[in-house]
Amino acid sequence: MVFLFSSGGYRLADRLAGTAPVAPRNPISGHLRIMDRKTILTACYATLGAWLLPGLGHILLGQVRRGVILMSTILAVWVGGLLIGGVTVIDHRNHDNPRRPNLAFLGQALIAPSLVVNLVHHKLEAGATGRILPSNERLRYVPAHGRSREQGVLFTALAGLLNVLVIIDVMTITLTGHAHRIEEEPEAEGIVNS
Amino acid sequence: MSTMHTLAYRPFLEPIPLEGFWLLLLVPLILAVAIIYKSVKIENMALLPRQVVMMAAQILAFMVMAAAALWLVVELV
Repeated sequence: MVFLFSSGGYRLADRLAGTAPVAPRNPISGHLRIMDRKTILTACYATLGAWLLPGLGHILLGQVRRGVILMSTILAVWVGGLLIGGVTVIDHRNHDNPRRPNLAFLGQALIAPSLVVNLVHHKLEAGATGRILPSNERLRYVPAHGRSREQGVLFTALAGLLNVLVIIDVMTITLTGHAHRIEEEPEAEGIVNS
Repeated sequence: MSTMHTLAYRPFLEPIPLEGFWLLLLVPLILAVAIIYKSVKIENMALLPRQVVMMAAQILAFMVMAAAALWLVVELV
């Protein structure tokens, strides 16, 4: 898997046929680049971090400003979806066809906290007694329907899909070394010289 | 059901009724897509605000054009 991501310059068919170079090439410089254990571990940690909390992978790699922007944007969309539809918009079950997976949940699960919300949703549902409530008592939660459900699912699933871009970027940075990015605004010439 | 709307909204436990303004939620979605895409894509983060505004405007313009074209198809064909 790691080798495939780092291959960059040649086809998988060449590798299977034995005609590709043994070590992958850096797609920027063209030099042979051998993956060491530290690089692979860094890639794994950063990718896991990006899944656990969007933007955390970039922060771990030292791109703090970019990571904070990614984190705040994706979490705003994700939390916005939960505010619109409530926790019931995240559900791993497909109520229309229980044999098939809920495709929206596959997108939502690309952010790890969605799994926690799914558990909370099921806990709330399990705690519902099914009895008729007296008029002075409120429902523990209200399931979303119609536009609220539609937009809640859309926001949370879109946040997960946007996190795929972030995860792929983290993997690209760690495995290809393509990280020559400008994080801060360029300083004024006078300040640099002084 | 009418009693439910008169009670205070409980975040995360109750949905917000969106029937009147759900289409306006397109704007934050477009902005989010533009911010994430450009944050990942561009090298110099100082250029981010300008690039985001340009991309968001392009997406919005093309969606309005697509909506207008589809409306014409529905009305005329």
